[in-house]
Amino acid sequence: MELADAIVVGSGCSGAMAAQTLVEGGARVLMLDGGVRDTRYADLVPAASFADLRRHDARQHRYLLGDDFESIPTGAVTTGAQLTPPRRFLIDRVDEFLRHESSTFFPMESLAYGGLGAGWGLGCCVFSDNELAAAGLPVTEMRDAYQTVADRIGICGAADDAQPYTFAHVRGIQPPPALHPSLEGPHRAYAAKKGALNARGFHFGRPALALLTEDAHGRRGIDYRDMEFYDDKSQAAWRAWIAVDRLRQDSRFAYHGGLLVTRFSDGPDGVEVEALRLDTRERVAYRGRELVLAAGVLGSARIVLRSLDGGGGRLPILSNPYYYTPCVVPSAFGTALPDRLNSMAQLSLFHDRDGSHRDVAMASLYMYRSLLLFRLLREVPLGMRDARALMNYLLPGFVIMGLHHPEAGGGDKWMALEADSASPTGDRLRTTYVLDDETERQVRAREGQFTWAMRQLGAYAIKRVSPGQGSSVHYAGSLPFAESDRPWRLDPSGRLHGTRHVFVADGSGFRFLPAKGPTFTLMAHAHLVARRLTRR
Amino acid sequence: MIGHSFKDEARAFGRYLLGHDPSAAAVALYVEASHKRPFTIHPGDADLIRLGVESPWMLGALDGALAFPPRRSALRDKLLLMTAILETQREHADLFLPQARPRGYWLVVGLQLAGAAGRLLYGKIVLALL
Repeated sequence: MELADAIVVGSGCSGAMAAQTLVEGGARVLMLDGGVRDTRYADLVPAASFADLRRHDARQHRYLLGDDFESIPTGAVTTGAQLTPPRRFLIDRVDEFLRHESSTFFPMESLAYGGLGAGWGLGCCVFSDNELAAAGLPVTEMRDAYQTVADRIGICGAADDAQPYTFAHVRGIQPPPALHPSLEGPHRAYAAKKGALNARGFHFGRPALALLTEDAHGRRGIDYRDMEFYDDKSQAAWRAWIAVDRLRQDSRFAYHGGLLVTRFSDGPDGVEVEALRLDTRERVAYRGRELVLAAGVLGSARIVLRSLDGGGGRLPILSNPYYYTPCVVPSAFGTALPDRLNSMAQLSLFHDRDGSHRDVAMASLYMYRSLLLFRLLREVPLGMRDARALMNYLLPGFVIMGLHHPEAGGGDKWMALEADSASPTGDRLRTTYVLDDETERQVRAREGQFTWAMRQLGAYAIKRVSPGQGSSVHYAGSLPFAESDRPWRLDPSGRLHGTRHVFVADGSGFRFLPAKGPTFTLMAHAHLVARRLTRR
Repeated sequence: MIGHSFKDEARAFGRYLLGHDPSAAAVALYVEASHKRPFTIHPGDADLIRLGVESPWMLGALDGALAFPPRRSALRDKLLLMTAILETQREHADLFLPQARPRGYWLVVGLQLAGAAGRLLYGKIVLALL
């Protein structure tokens, strides 16, 4: 390939969307990526439904537990505990190449083909105008960008009370998938208690998901195999690698995998990028006119820190505080479950404290079946055999509520590079993330309010599980947007101050991180950054 | 030193969890997993594991007593491992997949809970005597 118009670093949701916009705008794009894939389990998972393969597949232990039994927990719940063996390639080689040190922050990073998006929960909430403004994103442009991304990936959702918080103004939404029978009770309870819940700021409904329920975009609609945590056989769920696979058919796009981009050098006519081959650790260089960093907030921070100021900077970080709560829904005990189900979030509960769409917390409700019973038995205060016999009948009444809180900074939260002679890059990222007392108090108080709301819906919280800060896998704010030309900041177009050709298209610039899940917004923002570049 | 093999553990734990001998495939997987992911044996764990393997009829009581209140124990870790392996054996799928409400549902659930409570109490006494 000749000198690329743009080098895009990373094949996750942001990188894929930026690359697609650049290619559609006529640019010649080179994507540099870790490109790690699952070569172990992908071919083992049959095209059968979860219940069917459980009853018939003699090899199921390999992809359900893992060849090294890596799926069996041995200690406290931590970030990534939910990854099934066929999804664990997401974090392969990360410990080796993306070294990280912290006693307070436990992030998930990826070198995978398709990035962390390969394990994305598919939630597609738009940020409200107030949230966009607080994040430093342009409201009008973002509205158009959301629509462009939705048209590319395909989104399902429902026109219900949650809509203002989910897909809002976005058009062309497919109907939601069938609701899990166990959650029909809470869904009905909301209709009956809506007044009281709304009065306290709660709004409940179906989530918007990047999941096709009808055939479209050359992909099939959901097949209800209940295997979304294991494979993407139907491609009903949008994954970044699907977009990258399609881009690779285009002569204007080139993909180089097996690389870790380590630093850049910005010049008057373009940019030089240095990378490390994952297999040989050999250093290689690429040149392009523009550079688009979409390596994830921590990944992009590493590259920027190494490239500017000799790696001595200290950057802020935002991450949504996240907790989950197993709940029982007594009305669902003993519910007969059909074989045809899906594993994605079934319902979403939003808490808009003052109705301004500025301070919104979000809970997602998931069912448990496809994550296997043994993980739940571990938490039941009974012997395994008794617990198994009981849960055999009670399982349909167990719901997981994952709760995200908005994050506006404050507290002691930063990251910096420090020397590490054992690291292939010669350094590691040190991170500190400590909530201040007032934020911690607010988080706890809000959880109490969610517990109340869930009770109104007929769901009772059993315990609070904290997988640790960073477990939300939502990160932002390391290079905050700023109008003035200040170091370690992005200008509103995504350009890194102090450079001419370096743009950051992931969440690094967001000054505020709403609780709704940033992926849809990350993609819309990446599209905007790329569109501005095509107009330069 | 525990004094028995992983195979002995697999058979005893399988018998407790299923009510009958586990398949050779399940036993082999347990042995393989025990080599690949060895558990930390804390002081006191070895005695409990030995007691459970030599007297499998006591496993229900020991397991229940360790589960409430939750106590970190290699015996529970090993039982969880065997449970996970059995869950992924196709012949046992229906033991782990949600079942529709049977006749006398709450009676079934109540009897199960009462039995579990009895085993827990018995286990507490055994643990206190050990």
